[in-house]
Amino acid sequence: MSLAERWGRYWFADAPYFDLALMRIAVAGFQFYFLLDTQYASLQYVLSLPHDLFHADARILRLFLWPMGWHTPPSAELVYAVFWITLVAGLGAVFGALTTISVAVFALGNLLIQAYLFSFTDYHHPEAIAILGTMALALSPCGRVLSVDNLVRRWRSSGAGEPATTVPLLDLSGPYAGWPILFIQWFFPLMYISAAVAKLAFSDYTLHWANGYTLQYYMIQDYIRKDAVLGLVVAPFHWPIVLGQYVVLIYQLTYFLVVPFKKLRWIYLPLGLTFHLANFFILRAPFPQWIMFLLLAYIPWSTTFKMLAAARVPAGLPAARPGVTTGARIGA
Amino acid sequence: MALTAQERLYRGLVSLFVGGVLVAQAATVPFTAVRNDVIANRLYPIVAYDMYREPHDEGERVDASWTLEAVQANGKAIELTCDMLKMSIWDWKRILRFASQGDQANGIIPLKELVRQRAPGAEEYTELRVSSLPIRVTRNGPETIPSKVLITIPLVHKETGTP
Repeated sequence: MSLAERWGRYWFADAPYFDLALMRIAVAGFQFYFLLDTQYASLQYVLSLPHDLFHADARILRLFLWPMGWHTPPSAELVYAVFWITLVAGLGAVFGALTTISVAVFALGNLLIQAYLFSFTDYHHPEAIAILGTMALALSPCGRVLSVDNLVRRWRSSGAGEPATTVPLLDLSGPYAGWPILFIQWFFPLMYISAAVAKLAFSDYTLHWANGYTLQYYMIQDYIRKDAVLGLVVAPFHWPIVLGQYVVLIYQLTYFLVVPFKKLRWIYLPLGLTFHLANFFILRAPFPQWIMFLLLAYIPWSTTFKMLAAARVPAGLPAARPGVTTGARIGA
Repeated sequence: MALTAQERLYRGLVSLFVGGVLVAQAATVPFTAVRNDVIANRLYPIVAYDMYREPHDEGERVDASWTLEAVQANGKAIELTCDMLKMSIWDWKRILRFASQGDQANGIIPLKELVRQRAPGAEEYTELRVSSLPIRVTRNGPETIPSKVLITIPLVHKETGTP
């Protein structure tokens, strides 16, 4: 088998449309909320800053601003126009209306808004995966099910008198429904390796980073900066913190193993969720996008729901009289 | 089953996206490995995930933020906060860090401009003082130590040209 065939078999193997649609709804729903809850206020904030602080480092932003010149910030009207167009596209993406166009516009809008915000401030890490995930969704058939588009298709088919061949929603699969999820599965190890290499490189390739004081320092720092009170409570526990730092390094360096060895997800997924929730509560470093994608990319949701629906449970104690259950007698 | 031309095109586009993004993301690692920040957010949304990367040691001063004081002509010092200057904590930290290092373009000039525009009673200030936080990290948690003035920035008012 040629390399191209192997590539095709891996990335374009049949996968359930349900999982892809679930990713679309969750990611677009989150990004829509994020736009309203956080990004709008952030835009108002940066628009109030002196123009001297503007530095369009992101090349994609330069490309967008190129006709107007990228050395000066775009007008507030243009920024708000991009925001509102993105928001409307987000609604279409969540509900799956004109899905491909909606998700594509939503992805591009989110990218431009984020790059614009970072052109006034330091850049941060949680948002990038959500933008790349939305881009992947834009290229995929993510509106095939659980969408307005699907309803319209069915309505048109029934109107035209076409015979309806149906399959259970969770069983419907296709060759282009799996690659965005695989893409995210591969992207996580790269993020984690990048994080681990940074820690090792800045310690001159020793384990100096995991000396306990490093994390104690960040806990105190984030208490001062972000009022992360729990960090101050945990900061005196030196040895458990040393252990935690070693776990973080091992987790980040070996996370890639979950892609080929799926059973390892039973260990890495709870560990990763604990790690990100601890970051959130102790350091006030919220990475909700990462938590969302960990849950969406590594749990086979359609299989899980099918297993749950088919699960059998004990029927309870035999009824005293025919037709009357134990529960009914207790409740009576 | 043979693929249609449309499917072949689609698969090609998807492969370009998947391969391009994953390779670009992987390509940031060698830069991070030699502590080269050249990528930063230039290729956003491809970034190096180098958060919390610096190691720290026992007894190190916590540079979480800096104290900013504005001094009046009579010598009275007034502490300015990021809320008073309507700044996010991230910009506050970034600008004060650059200012404390004497960086004109990224620290001192924007700081003077923000104080001039936003600090209450800005015209009365003759200088700004940036001091370190009086806290260090120990095995048992935070410990207080004396604060240090890192830089004093004289203010010249645009209207009069005098302090």
